[in-house]
Amino acid sequence: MKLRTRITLWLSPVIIPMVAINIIQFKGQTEAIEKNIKQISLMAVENTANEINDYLLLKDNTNDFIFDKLMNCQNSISNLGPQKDSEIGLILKKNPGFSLFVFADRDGRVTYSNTALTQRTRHLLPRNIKGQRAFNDSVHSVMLNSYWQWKSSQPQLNKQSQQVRLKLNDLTERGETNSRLYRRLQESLVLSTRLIKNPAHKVFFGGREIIEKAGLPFRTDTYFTVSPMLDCSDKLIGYAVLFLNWAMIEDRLYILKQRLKAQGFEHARVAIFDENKQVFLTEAGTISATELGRSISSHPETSQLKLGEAYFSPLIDGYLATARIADAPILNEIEYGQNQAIFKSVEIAFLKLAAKQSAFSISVIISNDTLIKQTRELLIRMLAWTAGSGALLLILIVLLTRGLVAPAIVMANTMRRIAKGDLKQRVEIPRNDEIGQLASVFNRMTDQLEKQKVLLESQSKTDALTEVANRRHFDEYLEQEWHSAQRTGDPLSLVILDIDFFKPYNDNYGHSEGDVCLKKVAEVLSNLLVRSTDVFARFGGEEFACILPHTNKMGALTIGEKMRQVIAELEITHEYSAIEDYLTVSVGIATLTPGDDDTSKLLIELADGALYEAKHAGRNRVVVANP
Amino acid sequence: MKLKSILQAIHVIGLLFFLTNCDSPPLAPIKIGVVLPLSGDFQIFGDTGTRGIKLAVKEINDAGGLLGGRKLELVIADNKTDPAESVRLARKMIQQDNVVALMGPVSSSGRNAMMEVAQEFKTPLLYGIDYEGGMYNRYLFCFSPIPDHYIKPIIPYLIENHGNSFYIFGYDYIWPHKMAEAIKREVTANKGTIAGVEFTPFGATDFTPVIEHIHQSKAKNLILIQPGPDGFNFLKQFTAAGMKKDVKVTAIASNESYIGVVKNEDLEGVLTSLQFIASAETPATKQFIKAHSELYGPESIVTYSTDSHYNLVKLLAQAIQKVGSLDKEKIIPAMEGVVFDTASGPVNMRSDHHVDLNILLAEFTRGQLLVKKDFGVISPANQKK
Repeated sequence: MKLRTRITLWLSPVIIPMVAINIIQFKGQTEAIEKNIKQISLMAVENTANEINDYLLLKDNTNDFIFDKLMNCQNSISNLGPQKDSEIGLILKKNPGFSLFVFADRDGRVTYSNTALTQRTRHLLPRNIKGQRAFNDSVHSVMLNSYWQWKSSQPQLNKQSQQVRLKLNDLTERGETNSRLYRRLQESLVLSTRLIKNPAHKVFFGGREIIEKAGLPFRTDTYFTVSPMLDCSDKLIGYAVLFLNWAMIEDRLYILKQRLKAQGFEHARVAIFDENKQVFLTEAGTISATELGRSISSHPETSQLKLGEAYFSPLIDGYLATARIADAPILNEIEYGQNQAIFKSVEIAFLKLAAKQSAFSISVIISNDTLIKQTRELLIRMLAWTAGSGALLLILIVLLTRGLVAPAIVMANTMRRIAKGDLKQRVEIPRNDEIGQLASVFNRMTDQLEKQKVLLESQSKTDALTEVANRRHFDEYLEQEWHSAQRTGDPLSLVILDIDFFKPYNDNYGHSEGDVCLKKVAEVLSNLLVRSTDVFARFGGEEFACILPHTNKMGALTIGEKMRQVIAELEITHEYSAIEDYLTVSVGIATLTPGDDDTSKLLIELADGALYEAKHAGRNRVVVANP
Repeated sequence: MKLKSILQAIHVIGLLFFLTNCDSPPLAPIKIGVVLPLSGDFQIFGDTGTRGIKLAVKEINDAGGLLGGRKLELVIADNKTDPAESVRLARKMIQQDNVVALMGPVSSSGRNAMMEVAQEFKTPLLYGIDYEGGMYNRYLFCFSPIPDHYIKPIIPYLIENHGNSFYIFGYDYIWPHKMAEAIKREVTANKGTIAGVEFTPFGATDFTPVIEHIHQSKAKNLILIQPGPDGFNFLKQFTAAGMKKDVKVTAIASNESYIGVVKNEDLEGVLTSLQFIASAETPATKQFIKAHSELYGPESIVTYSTDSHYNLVKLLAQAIQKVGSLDKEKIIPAMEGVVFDTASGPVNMRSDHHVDLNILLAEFTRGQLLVKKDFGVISPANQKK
């Protein structure tokens, strides 16, 4: 396995913890986003529901106040006159939150109307709605029943009231005006006194038709309160109806939406839903009422209605948070119902009732797209991180391989060339670290090798004693020149010379003197050759040879003769020579233009033959072989 | 091998990015709510205004939208000139449709009602009809000729050319009343006389008594503040009574939409004064008319309402682009001081949310509304007060 692959393989597992950390973080954050959606939507919807409930309770109390002010058995329900008209106008202005006040006759037909001058209604063009129906038949029959019930229960109410009064007198005499019982009786008396005076007013939800006809700036149903109007003999003469300004509720939903928007839920949907009728009471955009109804009543795990928890509903493909707001029956219950909440802490009882029994609820729906969008952003961020760290790792690998593996490869390649014999190669890594040191040591080693090689080469070609070419080099060179002459057709000459009577010289002067003599002869003769192509070699014991390429017979003869003369002129004393008293040489010369089939042996034989002739003829002479 | 693995890594990352991005939803549109009368007496102002708005929106969307490709989307509704309906629609557009700005309406009572909604929900309201002036609100922006614009120059012109006595006749509601006051002020200031002032409810049909009053007053000028069908009827009866040879009629807010609806002879010689006259021989006006007829056909009427509503969209777009978001509270100051090109030249949205306008005097002549005089750029007094 290559080093580079190995480094990559070793380092690549680092990416695993990197990715793992990112994945864990991604999962954690996705869960956090989901939790955040649930928490915020639930908190927001519950806050708004509380606000609306508080508001409804407050307006319910204001109802009582307004009706109490207007209830007078001498009142007429039509032709009120400007005085009464402005009085009603003023009451409505000072007790905001209502948009329309209506007197209706016993048939429920409008006899008088006053559009409250609120911020939202003061630009209305007043419309005449006299004679229109103030409410529908079912409201009418409820009101009639309630009136007759009240009528029939009056004697009993009077009796009850009388009893309470007596008990209270008792308690007062005993000085127990601070007791719990006293307070309860007192409250009971207040209620029964009111009930004796007037039948209960009732809250309803509806009124869209009359609201549209009155030209109010909303065209939806709203809460409205109907109070029977009696003459001074408790005869029913008509009704007073007060319509809540629905725009106030719409505004609270808008504020809720704005709050959610500020929390980053740009497209949260908010709607008030009537679970009984399975309809929306506010604009709900594209949500289907059936699906929202099913989503509210069916928690995905328990398949039951569950409040106080936000959850994902696949039906609406979004997160749903729901809180109840009081509907009309709850508002009625709180006032006159069996719960008698008026004697308890009104607010707490009311809120509990509303949450448990109301059919109206506010829902916040945060589309799944919001989660998808947020997680997508997260995913992109995570991928960017992973990619970034991956890229970093890659860069690390690249740098590591460049620093370690690349010089190793360079050195391996250089060594390969050196192994092939090219000792001139060197590694160029100008670095100060271990790699650089390795390269410079390697270069020094190669320097040594090259020196050794040069030395060995020269040693293998040289005769150790005379320092001229040895016989092996002579053979190689002759062979080389022989082939060259064969190709070119030039003449090749060989000169062989032998020291005359060298054995007696050795015997008489000693071997060391003989060696000195040989050295001297070799030095002198090799100096005679000026051409670089000429090679002078020691051929045998006292025999020398001279290869003269591109040299004809005459040239060779000149050189041979010159050699003989030079040695003679040296006048090296040789008392034991049979022919002279100084050292002489015999020379045999052969010149050939080699034929294709000839071998170099022929030249040597010829030259040897010539030398033999020279010796035979008396020595100290030159003989040229005749081929 | 190094390079290859890097390339592979980049490839994989790129692919992942592609996968995570390919199903991202299209950019949400920027919604503008338009509440104009598309039926009833003021329908023509609403129709021509809506055409101007649509033209501007088309031009902006064709050029790639705003804020990096978000298209403008209109939510248009008919308020039937009912203030309550204007309030209801404005509230719905803000609360349900999440519009960034409201445009409209026409009548002053509708505007006042809508302005309160705009203020309550901190949403800019862009108004593009001439009105009595003097209305400043942080959330209201008026591209409107106000009396300072055209009453001031026209009264001296009428005195010089047609005589110094004036009769004022108009609808009985807030705008004509306020206009009459402004006219009276100017006439007095120019040493003219008011021969009579008279108002009539909507839906009156017989103007004989009014014409008789005018005749008896011997006024040389009649200022008619009765745009819409009742005014058309009045012009017809006034012409039939032969009054036009003695009395010069200036019909406030009369415009190109009268042509064809009112008979040419009834219109002949009637004066009007506005910032935009479709027949004006300026390159910018011609360019505007060309763009308009390409979209709506050459027969469609262009009025000053088309021009002003068109310009208001351009103003809003410029402010949104400047702010770089749909933050309404930032868009409002960004609209102040914006100078933008209009058919009547560059216009500056002043800090009192009104504009300096180049005002033209025009006369109905043989079935055409022709420019008679250019009063130049007129800068009204500060309307902030």
